[in-house]
Amino acid sequence: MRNKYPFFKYVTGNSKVHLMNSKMKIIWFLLTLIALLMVNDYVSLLLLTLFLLLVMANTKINPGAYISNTLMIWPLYALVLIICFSVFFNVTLSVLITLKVILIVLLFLILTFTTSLSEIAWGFECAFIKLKKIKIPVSKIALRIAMDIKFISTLFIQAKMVRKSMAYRGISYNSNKLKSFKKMIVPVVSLSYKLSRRMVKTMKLRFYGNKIRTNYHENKITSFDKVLVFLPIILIYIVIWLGWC
Amino acid sequence: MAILEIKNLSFRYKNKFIFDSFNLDIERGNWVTIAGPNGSGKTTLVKILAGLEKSYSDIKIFNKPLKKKKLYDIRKEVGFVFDTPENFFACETVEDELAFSLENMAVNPKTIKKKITEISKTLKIENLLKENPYNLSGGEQQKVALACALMLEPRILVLDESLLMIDINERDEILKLLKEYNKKKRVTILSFTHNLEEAIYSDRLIILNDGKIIIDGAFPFVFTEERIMRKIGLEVPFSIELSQKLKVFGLIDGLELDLERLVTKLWK
Repeated sequence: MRNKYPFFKYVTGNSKVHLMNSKMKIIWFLLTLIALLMVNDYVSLLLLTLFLLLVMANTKINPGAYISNTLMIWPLYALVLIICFSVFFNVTLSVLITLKVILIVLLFLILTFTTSLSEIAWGFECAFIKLKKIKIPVSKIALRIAMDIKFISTLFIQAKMVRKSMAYRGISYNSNKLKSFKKMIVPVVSLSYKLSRRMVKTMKLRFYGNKIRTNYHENKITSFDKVLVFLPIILIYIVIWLGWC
Repeated sequence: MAILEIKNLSFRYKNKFIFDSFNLDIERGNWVTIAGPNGSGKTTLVKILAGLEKSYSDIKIFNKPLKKKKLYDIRKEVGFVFDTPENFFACETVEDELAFSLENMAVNPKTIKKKITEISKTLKIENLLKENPYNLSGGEQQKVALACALMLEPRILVLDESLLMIDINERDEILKLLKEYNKKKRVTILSFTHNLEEAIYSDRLIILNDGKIIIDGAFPFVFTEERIMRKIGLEVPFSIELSQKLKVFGLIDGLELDLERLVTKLWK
């Protein structure tokens, strides 16, 4: 049976976060990301964590899905911690940066769990529509970003498939995780290359790349959307006030 | 009038010629089944027609040459359903999947919604609209892929082994539905398969082997060449075999692929 909540993959639902207007959701996502990147102290980090947990609860998706998916890439956090410590020689700062990375992953999970690929693309397109005036191909860039996000989950599914098919042939993965990762990397990369080529062909076949697009399900902007966009603005202010002043 | 013309098609894959001076004409409104064993060149031909493989040929669809510049116009009129639909999905819900091509063509959202309701009802996939297409069974995925193709209201529908994973009862229903499209809307259907039972409503049957047409004829008389079909590994449908034997004994006049019709004939 397939994983019910694959990494970075849309989970259908009818929560308020699911039904948010695509443009407002992308603006909320970008503002929260900016707030997270600006965090310089533990108090604002705690505030942002609470905010993200609140949004997470509103998605009505099993919290276990967020936890398991966030913890799935623990080697990345370990790597960030080691690199930060070797650069700054400061435990507090290294832990803070690592926690920031974890929260950024959680933010990405909230976005991708509650927003379908086409909605992400459409949201980006609407948010940056003004850039079209200076001839920046916003539609193309937006769909490319959405496809890249989708590809992350595809990579994870491929890796799982490779691991299983190798396990059927008697290759154990429990003894040495680093060694097994080495064994998996070549088939996963070659499979992903094939998949990406297929995806390009699919996109061409399905008229991707047109200058004008429409969006089939454009949700109306609600007061929930406005509040959710307004909150990160306050948080950015608090982050600046607490950490930078 | 030929809606699709292929002249002198040559296609090579790793020094092996899949097609060499291949020619084919398809008339408008026809249902043509192209059958052949594995490796006969069916999927390659579909990919060439979709513009996914480069070939040296003179292919014209609606009198337009199949060149890079004309591909967009041609693809708007031709619906493709591939044997592995999973590889051609781009969205996370079936509903988005159905809307995707039309969104890219800047079709009005209201029109898209109307079409989704209509086609999902016709193909009985209304309950799958909120599902992730990757999580569906093979048969369901093929139905979704077919629905995606029908959303474009194509003038030519190209099916590449696209009913393979659908169960017999549903397959028969879909074949009947396609026949309706074929008759009422004059949609030309090009069905590539190795299962000759799918050819039940075809007007013409072409048997392909090693990139060459070895049998080409009206349906069901083409089954008089059944020995050749068997030789290349194609299974002749039971109803044809039975009707051939019944014909020898003078119980019926002609060959019949549809078992129900065969029983009716015998009953009379």
